[in-house]
Amino acid sequence: MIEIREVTKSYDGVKKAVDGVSLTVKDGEILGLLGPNGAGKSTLLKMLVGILAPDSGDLLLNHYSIRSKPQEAKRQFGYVSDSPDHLLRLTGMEYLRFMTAAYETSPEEAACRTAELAELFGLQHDLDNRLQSYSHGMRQKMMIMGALISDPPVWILDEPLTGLDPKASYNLKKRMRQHADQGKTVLFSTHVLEVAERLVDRIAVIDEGRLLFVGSIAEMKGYFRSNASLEDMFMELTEHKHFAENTYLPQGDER
Amino acid sequence: MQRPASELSEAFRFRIKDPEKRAFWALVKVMFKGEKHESAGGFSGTSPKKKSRGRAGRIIRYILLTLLYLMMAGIFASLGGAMAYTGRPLAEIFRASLLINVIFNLLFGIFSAVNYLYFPKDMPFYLSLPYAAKDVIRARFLHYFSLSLLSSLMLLPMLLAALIVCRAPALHYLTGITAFLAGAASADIVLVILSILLMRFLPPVRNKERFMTIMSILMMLFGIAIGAGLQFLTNHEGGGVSQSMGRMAAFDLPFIVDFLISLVSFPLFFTAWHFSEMLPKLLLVLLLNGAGLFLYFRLMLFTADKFYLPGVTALQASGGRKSAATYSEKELARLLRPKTSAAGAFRRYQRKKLFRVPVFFNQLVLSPLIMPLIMLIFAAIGLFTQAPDELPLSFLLSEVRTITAALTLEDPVFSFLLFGLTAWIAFASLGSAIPYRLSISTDGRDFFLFKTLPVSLRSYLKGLQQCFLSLNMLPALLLFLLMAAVSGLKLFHTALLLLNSLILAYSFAAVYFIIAAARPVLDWENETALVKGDPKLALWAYSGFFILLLIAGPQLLFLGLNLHFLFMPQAFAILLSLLFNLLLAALLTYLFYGPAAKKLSRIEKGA
Repeated sequence: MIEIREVTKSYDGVKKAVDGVSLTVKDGEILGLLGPNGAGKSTLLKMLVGILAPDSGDLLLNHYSIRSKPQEAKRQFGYVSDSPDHLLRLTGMEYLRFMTAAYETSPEEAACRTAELAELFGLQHDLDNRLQSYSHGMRQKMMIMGALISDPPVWILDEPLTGLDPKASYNLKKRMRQHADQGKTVLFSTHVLEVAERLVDRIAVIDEGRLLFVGSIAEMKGYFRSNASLEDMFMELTEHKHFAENTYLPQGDER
Repeated sequence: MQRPASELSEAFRFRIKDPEKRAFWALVKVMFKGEKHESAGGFSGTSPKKKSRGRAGRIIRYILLTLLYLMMAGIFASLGGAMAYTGRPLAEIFRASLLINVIFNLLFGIFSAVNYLYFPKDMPFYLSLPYAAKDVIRARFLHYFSLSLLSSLMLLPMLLAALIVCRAPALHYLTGITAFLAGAASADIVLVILSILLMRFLPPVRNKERFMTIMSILMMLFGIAIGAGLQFLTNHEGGGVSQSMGRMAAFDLPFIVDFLISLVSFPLFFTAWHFSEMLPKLLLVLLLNGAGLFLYFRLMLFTADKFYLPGVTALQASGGRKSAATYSEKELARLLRPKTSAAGAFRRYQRKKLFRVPVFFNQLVLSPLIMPLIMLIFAAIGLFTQAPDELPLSFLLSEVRTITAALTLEDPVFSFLLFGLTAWIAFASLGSAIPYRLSISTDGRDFFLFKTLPVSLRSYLKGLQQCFLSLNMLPALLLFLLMAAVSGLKLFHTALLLLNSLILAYSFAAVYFIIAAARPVLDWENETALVKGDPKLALWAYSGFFILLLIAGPQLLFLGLNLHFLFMPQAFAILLSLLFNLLLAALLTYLFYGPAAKKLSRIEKGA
């Protein structure tokens, strides 16, 4: 479970990139974080994984605060960042070995999962090549493999489908569903509304650092009293700022 | 190659059984191996040809670096030996070696400590992993320390040579060497602590580009100040470098400076004890050095635990204040109206790129810019310190003015002036060899974007050439004009000499532009790798001597021979040689815009 409590972050001390956001992602749930460019999605995810420190508020992963218990909190999740260009001098295998050691995963588990994931993403023949020689999509696949090799209970994925080929994209979405169905948590950000529409249990729409909507697609349709597509409703939410005053947050504690 | 399951399982077996230790050493290994591309060898591509070329490059680089390292170590060994021969006590030589180490650390230490501890590209990635802050700082410190200690060890031969010359007892070797190592390590630890505090409590330095630019300028200025100070010390009081070093080591520094330096490199507190004749004192100093190092290390870990992680996370958020300016349609029309030709647009782009990328600014703008300045400062110091008291500077200046006032083109002095100025331009140009060689390469893959634009390659090359030439030639030429004005050189003579210098400097640049266009390096991962990762660059810098000889040699030889045999009037000979230089420059320009540009236009992405 992910709990985000009253989190605020400003880069320049003036404009708030994230403004008092509270949000809960329950066990067994996939939550899609949607928002226009510069809305605060990546900032929120980076605070959640410990790359950025919030100015105020707290973020908990399976009840561990990333601020007061960072190491325990970090053991709860696997994170795929918005850029797959990390540790490019390593080979795929060396990268996975490093992730195995970092998460203290048992060698047997790591080997088993590597075989499975490499097949899933079609990287069986590339493990001994340097990440530097990989294409963007292959690097992205390797980052996903690294994040999943320890089978963390919480998946935090920042634009995970960017650069993936259709097969890998399909397989990842299937794995996300399976993971949530096992009672675990998936939080991911995306710009692709069709993906969100088909995959998520709930969506959270963020703009200018504030949550505009949290709920299921059905709840969103109910709120708009229309059967419009998610795309239409998203445009309506983010373009007409008066909705910001009447943010639809059905759970009460989320804003 | 697909791995069988059993082999895959074997690949995940670790020699270290304790999971925590395993995780830590995996991090250390990844930092050592995974971040090489930050500093060197960051050229992408793994084709067999490129792999073998990369391997050969690595071997050449290691050989060159080892030779350079041994050469430097040799210089310090001879310095230590010479100091010992001249009767300087061991304690003084020990103090001098640690002082140099502290100076080196002050010069480069903060820069590289902050770079290694805070600015690696993969830092956000490490932050998302389940590592304690102290593990990250320990791993990073090990990485930094291994490199820093290696450079400190370069100074150890200075002490070793002195110990050998003085026929010191074995125990003095032990105390001296351990104290030197403790001193070098403590200086590194102090710099790490300072870096942590700096990054935690001084937000303005958290911008990588700003930090690197400020530090480069400070390092240059500090380097000039130290170099000038040493030269002043050597020239002013007479004697060689070893005696000057001795004087510096024995120099009675103000208490606070002495205390601060000793605090950075703590064995300096007990300098004399390390070479005492009394055994208890020697044993005590060994113990004190061990305890001191332990204390410094604990202090570093304490500081790291408290302030490292907040500093690193704050750094990830530091992007500076962004402009929120909006433009009206009218303003946009004004701003977007092309002010110059396509070549002018490329010139402006090149200039902005060179000034905004710190590593380009440091290596390709600042270095050549400062070269003529350093020469001028050192020449001025030499003049001030070496001029006999009975010949004041004003007298020397008036003598020079008398000569220049009477100067004609037929005067042999004019030829000497031309020789001198050619030498000056040559030396000033040498620092520009690498900027010219890398000119096109600095665009990297952006070059292929330019190829898609509806502008001619000629415009691109023209803009690029104008930018690099102006940045590299202007400082030396402005200094020449200043010197010409001070010495009262006639306008016509100044113009003639300036024209000759401009042509020579241009031809020198043109040779490198041709090479740059014919063999660009466009497939690099990061700017540092381009500027520092290719060992062949050093060879290109050395090749500058030969290229200068080829360009300026014929003119100098011709004028020299004419001066000796006088087979034609000197004015005519000068004009003839100028014409020759012009023709050479025209030929090089043709080669650049012709065959070299054609070759450049055929280069394909990923080739």
